[in-house]
Amino acid sequence: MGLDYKWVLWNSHKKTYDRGIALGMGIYLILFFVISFWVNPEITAETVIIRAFGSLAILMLHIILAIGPLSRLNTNFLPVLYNRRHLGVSMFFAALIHGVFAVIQFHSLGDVHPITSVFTSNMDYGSLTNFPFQVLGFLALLILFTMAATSHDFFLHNLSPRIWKGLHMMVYGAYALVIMHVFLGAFQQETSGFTIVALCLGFLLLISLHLTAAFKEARTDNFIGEKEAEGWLRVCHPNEVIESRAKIFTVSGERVAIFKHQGKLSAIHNVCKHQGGPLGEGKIVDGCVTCPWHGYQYLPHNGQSPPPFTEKVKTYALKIEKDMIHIHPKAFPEGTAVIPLSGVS
Amino acid sequence: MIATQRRMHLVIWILIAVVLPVVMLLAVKDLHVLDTAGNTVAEIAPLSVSRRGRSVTVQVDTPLKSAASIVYEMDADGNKGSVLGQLKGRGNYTFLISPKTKGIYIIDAIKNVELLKIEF
Repeated sequence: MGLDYKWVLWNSHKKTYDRGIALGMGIYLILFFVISFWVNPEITAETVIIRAFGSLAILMLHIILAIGPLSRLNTNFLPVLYNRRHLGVSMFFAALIHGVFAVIQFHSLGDVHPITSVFTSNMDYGSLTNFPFQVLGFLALLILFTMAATSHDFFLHNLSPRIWKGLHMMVYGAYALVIMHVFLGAFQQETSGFTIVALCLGFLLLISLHLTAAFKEARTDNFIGEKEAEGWLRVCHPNEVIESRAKIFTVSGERVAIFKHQGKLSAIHNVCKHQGGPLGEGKIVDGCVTCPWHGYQYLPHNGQSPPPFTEKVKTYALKIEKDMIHIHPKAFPEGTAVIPLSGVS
Repeated sequence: MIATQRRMHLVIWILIAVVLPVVMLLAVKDLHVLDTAGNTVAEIAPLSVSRRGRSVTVQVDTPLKSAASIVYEMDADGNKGSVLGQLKGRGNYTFLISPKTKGIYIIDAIKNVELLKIEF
């Protein structure tokens, strides 16, 4: 969390994360260069650069797209999610180097502008098999640029989390373009089956992870509790909520996290105001509900970030009847204080 | 994420899972990628070859799809002999050949496939 604009709010976790990114990228590139020149000594440096950075960008894109569902399926992956934006920006730079060298190598020696050449060197737009795959890569690079350029919290705050998230969901369009770029390129210009097999395996892995996570989430969404008088929903026994942790329920189509803090229960909207992180999967640290994604904090009894921060989430009324927790589905306005429910073990 | 975004994620990934494989299959269905008999000789390149005395001229009218088209002489036994040169784009390419040369091969050096084989 930050009060004023800073280029990067560095902390030890982010520095460690970024060192890991730099180290991983460096090792991959060195291995790629060594193996390429060892296997094919006649290969040119430009070709190796294009292939090394292109394959690195695709690998990173797969890792980035896998982090979200992996974190939803297993909370041990949450630390990898923490600084995913830096991973995304690093991936964009790898893709940019690939694109720039490819344009220089294949499109800059003619009598038309290199960018024009990308779109006109192969005009077989009517064919699916011979479709100009370079154009797909160029469009994917434009999307990745838009995302990298707007990745900072400055844009997140000014565009609103909902619009920002929608904008950044364009990554799926970029992924589809990249897949077809590599797939068609491999068939049009390569003979090695390795690229195709690796691409298909990565595709299957991502599809499996995302659909598994999505159906798991759908099961949670479909749990609506048992409706009782005056609209109250009976959800669970108080002992099912662990101290300093939460249990998540779906109420009126939205998720609510019921936290237990010092033996008292409070219910807040499950969605963090920062990037939509699942507050109920976090825990209470220093008396505050702490988002597992980026550490944004909220007081459990009123859903407000501790001063001087200003983020607020909705709160909900709770009651205990017949030894069961009941929640009222009508949310209070964001930041409304609700007396925590005491008398629970 | 809010419920709408979760639903949108699910819809997007179902679409990707269905549409991309279909597009991939449609893209390669005419390639006969499993037909090994067709892999040794590529389609006829858009060029013409003429011999005059101890020289052979290759006329390339439209740019070749192959990025590295190497011209080899065909020796007396019909095998691939020494390299005569490389075709880089549109134009006329003239190469000196020995009296024993029976023809030429044009090979895509990257894919290692034969583009053209001509006997004089």
